[in-house]
Amino acid sequence: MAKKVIGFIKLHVPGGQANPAPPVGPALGAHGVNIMDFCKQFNAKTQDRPGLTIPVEITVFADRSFTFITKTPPAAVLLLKALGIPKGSGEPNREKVAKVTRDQLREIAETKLPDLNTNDIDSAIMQIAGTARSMGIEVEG
Amino acid sequence: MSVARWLELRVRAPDTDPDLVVEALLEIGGRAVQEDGAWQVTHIEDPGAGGAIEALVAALRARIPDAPDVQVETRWQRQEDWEVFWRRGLEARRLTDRLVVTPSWIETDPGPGDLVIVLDPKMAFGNAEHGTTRGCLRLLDGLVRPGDRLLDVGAGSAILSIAGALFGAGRVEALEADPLAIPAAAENLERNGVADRVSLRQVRVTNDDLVALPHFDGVMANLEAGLLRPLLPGLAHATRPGGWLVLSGILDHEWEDVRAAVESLGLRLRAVDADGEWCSGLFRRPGGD
Repeated sequence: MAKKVIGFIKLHVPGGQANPAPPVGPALGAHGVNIMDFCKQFNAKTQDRPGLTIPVEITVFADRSFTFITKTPPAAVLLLKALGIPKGSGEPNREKVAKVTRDQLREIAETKLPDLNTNDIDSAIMQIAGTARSMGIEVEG
Repeated sequence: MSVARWLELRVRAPDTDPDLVVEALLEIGGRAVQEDGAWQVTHIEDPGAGGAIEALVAALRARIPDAPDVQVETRWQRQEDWEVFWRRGLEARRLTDRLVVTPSWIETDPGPGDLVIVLDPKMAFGNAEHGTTRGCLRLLDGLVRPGDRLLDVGAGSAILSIAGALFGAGRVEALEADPLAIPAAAENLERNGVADRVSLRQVRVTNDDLVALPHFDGVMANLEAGLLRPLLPGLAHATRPGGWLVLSGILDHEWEDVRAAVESLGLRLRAVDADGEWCSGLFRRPGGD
């Protein structure tokens, strides 16, 4: 079909918890998108990641039909959750806020792999370790 | 929903990882976060008076790593019935003397002989809100004969397949590449009572696929000119001698090029429907009855 794009919406929604309340309702409603259908489809797709922040990009077509893609949660967010800390360091070179183990890095790398520019788990671990260091998180091992 | 209004919190923190801002907004009570240019936006149920807003903003700032230029703005968002808010502007559309397309929540009062397609905009392209679909539906009316076998390439919401079946086709083969569109299309076929006459398949069709198919009395392809061009030989081949081919998704400046390509395959133009910037064309393959 001749899918002329009329809108592009970027949201961050906890997995399995999309509902028509703001900001989802106003953001989609402004483009005439079927809000309940989006919520139903998003929740079905992310029910295996309940409560985890899922970036979602919604494309709206000229006849008000739509499609969306979900991405994996940001590495920084996965690190904070894994380590149970509220935020990274404001001075990552001088002030360290936590330590992350190799096993924790691997688990996060496996989660992030679909969105990274590599299929190699070791390379993915290196990328996550880089993010950790930039947040003032020490990498063990 | 008992909330009368929502507090909209808008945050701009150019030197902070935007993902951390998102998490901070969710932690203080946001249900989701929208990216609005450089701003991250969430809404929180009216927190009440007595410094509650200031406390929320303070809680937000405490969660964002120190940065001197974090901007926080607040304003009120009126409560709406968001589940129906998005429907504004959608209405039943009469496309021909007998064909009406309507969203499911609108009551229609069909006259004798009217055919009504019930279809809501969902995750599949194709409803009466777009010129290509309207053009195809107008061209289809009067073409289909009882018992015809039809092919719908790029079925999307399956609206053309539904129309073909309602117009009397005995069998419709509906092909769609997008797996996300298939459930919506299947639901539409059921809702309109034609699922038993339409075979829906998820396949990214190639020219070779089309050539391998048997001939059809009518072929419909509402795609885009760029997708149509390489498929034209196959679409022409799938059209039986004497049968018809409806093409759409063609911008007016692309029309002459597509028309010439189809006619070079031996088909003849019979009608054109122009709707805004979109053209739809009806071609006949010579021969047959």
